[in-house]
Amino acid sequence: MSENEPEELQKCLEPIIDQFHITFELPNIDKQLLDNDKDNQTHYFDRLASISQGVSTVAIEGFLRSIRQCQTEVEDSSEKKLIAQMPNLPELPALELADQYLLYSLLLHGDLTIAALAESLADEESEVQAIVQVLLRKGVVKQQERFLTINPIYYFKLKQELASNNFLIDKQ
Amino acid sequence: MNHQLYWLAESASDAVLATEDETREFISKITTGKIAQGIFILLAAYLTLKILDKLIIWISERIARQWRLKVKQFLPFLRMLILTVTTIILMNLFLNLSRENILAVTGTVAVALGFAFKDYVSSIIAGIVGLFESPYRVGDRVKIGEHYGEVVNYGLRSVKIQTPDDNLITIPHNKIWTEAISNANTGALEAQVVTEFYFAHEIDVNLVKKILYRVAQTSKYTALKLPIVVVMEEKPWGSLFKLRSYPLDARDEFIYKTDLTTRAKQAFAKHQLTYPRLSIMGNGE
Repeated sequence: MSENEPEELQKCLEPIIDQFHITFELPNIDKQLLDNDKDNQTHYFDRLASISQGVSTVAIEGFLRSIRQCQTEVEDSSEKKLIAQMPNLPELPALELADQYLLYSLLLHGDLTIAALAESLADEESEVQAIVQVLLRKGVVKQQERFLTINPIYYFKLKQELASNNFLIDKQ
Repeated sequence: MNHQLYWLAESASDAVLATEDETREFISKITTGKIAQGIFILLAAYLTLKILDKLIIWISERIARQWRLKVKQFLPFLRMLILTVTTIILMNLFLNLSRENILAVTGTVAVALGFAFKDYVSSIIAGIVGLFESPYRVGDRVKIGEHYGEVVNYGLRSVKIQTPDDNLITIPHNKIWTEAISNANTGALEAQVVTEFYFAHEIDVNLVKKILYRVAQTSKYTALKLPIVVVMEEKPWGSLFKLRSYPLDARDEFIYKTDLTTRAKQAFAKHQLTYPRLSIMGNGE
């Protein structure tokens, strides 16, 4: 995962923003008062870089989650617009102990198939499959073809959760 | 003679009247209102204790594991506080607690309790001492006498232990005066687990050690922050290996041991390591 500054993130996402004519929501009032010389888009990317700690995969996931479709009335016709709201990291769903062991293994290895995950946990494949299904539904885990990965949006909160549950986690 | 008898009878009657007066003075006037108030206080204390028990356990099971035991250990102190406050309120309600009265009642109660509720009082005192001495706390894994398990409740008179077979055992606190208490984690989340493996004398010691280290390092339950050690000992019947390691949570002790044994045996089978044979054991003995 590479680390990025707000400007780099903005540059990287600009083609998507231009193509879909995405507009940016007003930041909260204290931000407006503190940095009144900045426009909405700059506020947005400052916030995105801050919550993602500059990690590109987290930033992209945060960006996608922040986009909402809005209907605006223009004279007699209504128009659908895409608006990027201020990005936030969602709360981590409640995790069982078995979920934590599985997620820790995924975090250590990056991406794994169910068979490899079962081997790393020394559990039956069917057992692992059941837990994975629940985690996929909760959105904590993502599946691309056969490979499972941690959803980047939960990356920091998951690390924090595992560290406070006695797992060996690099705090950096 | 008659005069003397009359005098004795009179002084006995005076003594009875004096005792009656003292008792009346000590016990304040009991009214229906006071009884109702007393019942209400008892009920409120009981409900508070129950709610507190449930609330603290509920919170401790939901927060991060590293705080679980710390929150649970707070419970006995809160229970003791509520019980003390309730007792003081009730005594104030029903007794006239002057300095002389307190001295008188303490002496009488001490004698009565000394005979009738010796063990009960001993357990309560041991419970209070235990709060500060901490031979066991809620969440600890302890062995008292023959019983091993997790301390799930620290009551006024006794401690409740949940065994690995899910039995709930009640042990009076006064055991701390006489019994040795073995505490596996003393307030920490981790408790060392010792898994034993037995082999024939001719096995490759380095290979076994390598397998055991690998098995512990790759177990999902292992607390990798804590040391993993393999020790061995020669016995007449074969070689005994002990794998000392810590699970992330002391509660996983038995499942952790099973995981280590299962995976180690798979590796031993792959390398065809031999176990001590019955005939060797027989000859050895």
